[in-house]
Amino acid sequence: MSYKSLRDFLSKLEEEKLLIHYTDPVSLEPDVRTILAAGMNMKDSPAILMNNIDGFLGKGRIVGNVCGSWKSNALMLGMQTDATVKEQFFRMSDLWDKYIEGSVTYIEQPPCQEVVVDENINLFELFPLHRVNEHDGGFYLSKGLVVTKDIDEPDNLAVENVGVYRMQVQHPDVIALHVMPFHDGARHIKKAEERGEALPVAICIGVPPSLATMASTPLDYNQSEYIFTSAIDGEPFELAKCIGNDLDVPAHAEIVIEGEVIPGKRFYEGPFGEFPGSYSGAKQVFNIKVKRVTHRKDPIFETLYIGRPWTEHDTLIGLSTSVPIYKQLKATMPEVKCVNANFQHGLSVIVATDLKFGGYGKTVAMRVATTPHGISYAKNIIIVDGDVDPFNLEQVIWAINCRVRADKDVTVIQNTPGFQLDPTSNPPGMGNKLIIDATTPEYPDSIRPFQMIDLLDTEGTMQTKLEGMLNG
Amino acid sequence: MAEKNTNIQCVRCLSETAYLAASAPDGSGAWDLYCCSYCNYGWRTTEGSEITDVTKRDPRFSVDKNEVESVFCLNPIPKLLNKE
Ligand SMILES: [Zn+2]
Ligand SMILES: [Zn+2]
Repeated sequence: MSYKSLRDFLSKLEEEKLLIHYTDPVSLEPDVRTILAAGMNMKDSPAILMNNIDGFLGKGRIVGNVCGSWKSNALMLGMQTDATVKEQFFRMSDLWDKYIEGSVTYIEQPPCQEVVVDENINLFELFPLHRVNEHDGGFYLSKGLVVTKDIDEPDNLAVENVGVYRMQVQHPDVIALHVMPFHDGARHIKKAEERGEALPVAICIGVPPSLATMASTPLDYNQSEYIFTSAIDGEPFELAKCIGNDLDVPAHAEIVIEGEVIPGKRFYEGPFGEFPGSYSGAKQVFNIKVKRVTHRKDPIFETLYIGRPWTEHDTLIGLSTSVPIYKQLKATMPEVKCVNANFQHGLSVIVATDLKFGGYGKTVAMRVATTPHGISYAKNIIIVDGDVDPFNLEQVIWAINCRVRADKDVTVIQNTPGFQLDPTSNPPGMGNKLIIDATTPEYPDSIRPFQMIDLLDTEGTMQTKLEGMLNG
Repeated sequence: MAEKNTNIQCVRCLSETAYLAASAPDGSGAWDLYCCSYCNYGWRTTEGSEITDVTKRDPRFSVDKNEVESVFCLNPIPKLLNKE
């Protein structure tokens, strides 16, 4: 089952009772953020579609929390809503290996170009932009995908990049772009800028959930987000060409904003409430000059509430952070069983692994700290035995409580790269790595002999029987 | 868009560089939206007084005019490559 468009996915969410139609009047501030945050606190964190927006009557719709829950995420992955997070992890891991089976196709007269606006562009009047958190420096696009190309390889789809970066609409046709220097989009901009060229960009809003997930995933530079999305969906991904440049955009996007990065200048941006649950300070960043806006008829403006966890941001990037780390570890350490880096973009990483020899747990931790993502993000690294489920925090704490010898198993590596949005990173970009090896010591390391209590009902037969009795 | 009056005081950086950037598109007059061309702040008239009223804003989020040019640059401007 795949979803060609955001709208297809919303229909499925509705069928599964994971979508609320919010028809009461909504103010852009503070109602939108309050509604979305409250929705996330609900048991199944449903998506919420609002159509009665102050100043936009009959002209605008907002949807949020689209990938807010693990149930929605399971649907995105083509699974049943009762799939566990661990099952979703392994499903995504399997899809990872299907990359080569992915493909794209181009369609004429794409829905994303049903309406074309190329003069008097005013984003504040076209779409229900809103302040995501009270002290943000303005009105942000919190779930916009930024498409860029490498100017030296315009026909190489594999290096065309699609990334979710934070963007502040600063003026009616000007958008500030906050992209970390190590992200692919920043590499593309830098290359053009060194030659004094304005790099074309396309910002896509309201895309299929599988693409939003892949765009939030740290892929290799020469891996295509579109091809990966196709691998998840199991069918060619439908693209369209922008009108004013050569960029490829999802044909069924609700909104596409075409523009150019202004070279050689930087602009004041921020602050912005970020996923660590605190505001990041203001910075000098890129500006994009908007040239054209295209959209579907009656477009749905997709937004994402980001703030103190758990928010849609946490679900969206959870497994797309965990799976690449798992793949990178597994490549040379086949003993690794599973990785949970679902918290705050992998600031903590929990790895389950079998042991080869004494001290191996610590070795795995050091490898985590040198993966592309782990270098700056992974600051708390916890290693547990291969039969401990890293997605079950009760088991993880049990392992810490009953395996860790603080004098031998806890290590701090000081003054390493850190993640600058983490408020403890000081100066921003520097940090420390905490390693907790909660594995059972392997020869020649040892603890005093003990006898484990057997696990019961390991096949789950009795559990299934009891569930049957309960559900009568 | 309305004729740009660019001399409105910004509620954040207090310089007189803000302008009326947008109005409710359904013609209801529900709100106006202002932007500052110096610190790039934006605010809507329907937001609470802790946003729109200079005297009630949270001082932890105020912006010093001198700070605007000197904050951390996320992506330093690269040198232009010589075209040969
Ligand atoms: Zn990429
Ligand atoms: Zn200002």
